Amino acid sequence: MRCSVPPPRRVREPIAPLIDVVFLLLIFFMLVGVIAPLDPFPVEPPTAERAAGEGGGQLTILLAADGRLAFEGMELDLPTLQARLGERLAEAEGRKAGVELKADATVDSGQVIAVLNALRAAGVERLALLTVRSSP
Amino acid sequence: MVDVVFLLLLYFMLVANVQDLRAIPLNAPAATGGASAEDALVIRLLADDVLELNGAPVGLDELALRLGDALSHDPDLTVWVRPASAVPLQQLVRVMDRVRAAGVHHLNLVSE
Repeated sequence: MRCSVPPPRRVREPIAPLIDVVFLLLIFFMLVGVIAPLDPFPVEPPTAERAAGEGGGQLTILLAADGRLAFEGMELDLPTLQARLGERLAEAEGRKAGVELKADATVDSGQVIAVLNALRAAGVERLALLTVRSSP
Repeated sequence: MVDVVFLLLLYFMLVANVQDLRAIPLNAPAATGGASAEDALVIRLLADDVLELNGAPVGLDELALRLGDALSHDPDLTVWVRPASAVPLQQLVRVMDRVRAAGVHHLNLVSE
């Protein structure tokens, strides 16, 4: 008995669902992502489980593990930073600009406090320390 | 058409910064004003992971209990954290995280 096996038909892969998924992914990344200028050096903020406040404020200062400082995508030293911050705060007069310090997890606390005190001396009233939510 | 969408997707995936940043607000010494030194709590954080609450050594869990106790007497309690300068920030943040989680709103950092 001869069994007639039908020759395999080449089915064209449907492309429309694929495009739908890609569009959804695109929309997801557009909404979730914050387009920020790349940091001049890598900073790994400390992890915290329950830190409450929402991060990502207006003015963010970076403090690298080796003590380098950066603000608005540029590396600078402490006196320059204070001057630059003074300008920014003067521009934001009345809106109560807050400043966030994104420091590397391995930086010494003494250094962090020194920077925080310098920021206060520059006239910053609302200060916060940025952390990353630790993955459960 | 599909190529362009893929390129856009790639672009947004690479550019997007999906880190979930959280902020721990710090109170400036002036902003906490009025609170006198005696009703404030001082937590000292020494090297090698030793914690001291007002001079007595405590563990991290006991610290949370003591803070909850103190908060029930004075909800506007100010807590000062004094880390030794060589303590890494991660360790300091872990303690500050616990302090915030205990319900303290006025948290301040001072140097040794």
